[in-house]
Amino acid sequence: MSDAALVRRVLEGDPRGFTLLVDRHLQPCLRFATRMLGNRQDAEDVTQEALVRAHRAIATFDLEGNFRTWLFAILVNRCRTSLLQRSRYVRRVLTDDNAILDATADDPAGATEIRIEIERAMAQLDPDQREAFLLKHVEQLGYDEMAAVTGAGVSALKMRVKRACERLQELLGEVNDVAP
Amino acid sequence: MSHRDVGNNRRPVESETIDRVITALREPVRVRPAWRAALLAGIGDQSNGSSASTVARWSFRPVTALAAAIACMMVGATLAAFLFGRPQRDQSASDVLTNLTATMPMPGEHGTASVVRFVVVAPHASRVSLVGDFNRWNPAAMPMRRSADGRSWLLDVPLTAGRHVYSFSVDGDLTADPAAPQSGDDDFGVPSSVVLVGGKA
Repeated sequence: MSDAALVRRVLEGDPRGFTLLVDRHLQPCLRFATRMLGNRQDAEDVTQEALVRAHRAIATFDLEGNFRTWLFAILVNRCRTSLLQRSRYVRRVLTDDNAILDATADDPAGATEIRIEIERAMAQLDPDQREAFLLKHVEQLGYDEMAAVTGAGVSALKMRVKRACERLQELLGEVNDVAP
Repeated sequence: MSHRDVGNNRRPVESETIDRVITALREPVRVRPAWRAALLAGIGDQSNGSSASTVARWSFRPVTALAAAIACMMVGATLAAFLFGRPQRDQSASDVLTNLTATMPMPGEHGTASVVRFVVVAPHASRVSLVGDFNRWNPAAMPMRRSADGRSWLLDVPLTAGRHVYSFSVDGDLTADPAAPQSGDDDFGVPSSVVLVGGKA
């Protein structure tokens, strides 16, 4: 069943429709927020806020539109607001329990360290570059979708992604020199 | 999908490093079942109309005294609406302005700056601060002081002539000033307002 069909179910009064939408989009939303904010608690907060706001505003969703794009536009704004309100990002590596939670015993040697280095590098990107990089390469949105989500122009977004790649390469070059 | 389709990049980015980053970042983030359950329960409560509005934790009656003259405010609102295509909120603005103990911009010890008095009614708030492009949107930079009657929060800020974008941080929530023209600067995704000082846009 398509997202639009689920939205129709919600509008017709069936609350299970939104539960299905949540289950479909919760993982990518939480992943984006976690990578963007660098803090699991903050990520859960903004994801919850975004979904609650989406539910509250579901009647405004254009059924001909893309629900994921619409939802991510809300989420991206919540992340931006969170970054403004809380200056915790610098504590990302120190307080991030995500890596610990996700680290498993069968991780190859050094995998957790590399992941932490990647998160540390992500933390050093400008927020707009980090946002564009995550939307493009992690959530795999097209540039037109990204433009709708962020309100920025396609050319600007391409430049942000390019700068992010260059900066990551610069920051992680040394780490990858020693990685298997 | 490869990162090689990035923008106008004519110089190939080192693929191995970026591919490794992308692979790592695409790993799923664990969704805590208890959190998911609480989230769905909260949405269910909202559906049933049993939740109180979380937005109305404080009453917000906008009485920001725009430091520019009222005439400048009206011109600025018209100009902003023209430039940015935003609807004006004439009714709320006029309601507010009738209650203003507005302070006109005045040259003072700050050289060419004018002192702008920002006022917001938030009697139930515990902390309010002013954020804007003049303080890098830092909520800790400009805390507002509570008025004598305890209902309002005030702050006088010297601002240079020109256009300034700002918001209020009320108990951590950013909100635009309904008494002022909304900013068209949506790049940061924050509700914000515009004050024009010295008549420059």
